[in-house]
Amino acid sequence: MRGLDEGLLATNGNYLRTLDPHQGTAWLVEGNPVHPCWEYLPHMAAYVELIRVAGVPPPLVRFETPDSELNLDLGVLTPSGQTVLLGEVKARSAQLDSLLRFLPDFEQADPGRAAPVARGGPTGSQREAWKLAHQLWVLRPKVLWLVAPDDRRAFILDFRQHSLSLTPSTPDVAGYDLPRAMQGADTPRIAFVG
Amino acid sequence: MSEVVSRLVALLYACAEHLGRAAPEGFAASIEARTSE
Repeated sequence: MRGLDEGLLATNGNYLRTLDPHQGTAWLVEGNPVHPCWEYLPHMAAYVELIRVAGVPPPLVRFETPDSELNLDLGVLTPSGQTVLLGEVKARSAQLDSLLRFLPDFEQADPGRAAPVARGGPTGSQREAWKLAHQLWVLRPKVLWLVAPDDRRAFILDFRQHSLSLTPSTPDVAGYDLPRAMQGADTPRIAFVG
Repeated sequence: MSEVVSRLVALLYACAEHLGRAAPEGFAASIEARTSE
């Protein structure tokens, strides 16, 4: 609600808008009869945390990136587009547990883009972990931040020795060396490094 | 119901209205229950 009051978040009809000018589509309710898209509640809160608690300038926080930028939930970028923190948001904590259960399957190599389910691609939690692993291998962020309602988990990432390792760390995003100043107001596109 | 949840319920009702869709019976209660988990 603070984000709405302070103009970091806005609604346009059923659409949620952030200050990210490159943001993909995010709608707050769907279906008939309608039900809330629960994932966007912690997603909105985490976006505001990165800006108001961690002090990251709004132009460096990406929200719900489009397909061409790997569909990240959240990304904190440098002004040149390098991903420093990658945020993954789920509606329930149990979904974070599942992600962490499957993620080690992809610690030796980038699995690439997941094939569509209709063509025999992975499904369920394995698919979610596959997509996250691909994002991590391609973008090489320093921090993975997992978000669910009233649940924040963070990991320091290491890609040395050709494998991905996750070390648990403080979930408080204010404790990380994130970009806190920038010149200009342009929101960078995501730079692919892996 | 907390002020935050009240505002959230109002926001989601407005979204449903914008879509011209029906909010099911118990919509507000379901939001309150879920957000207090």
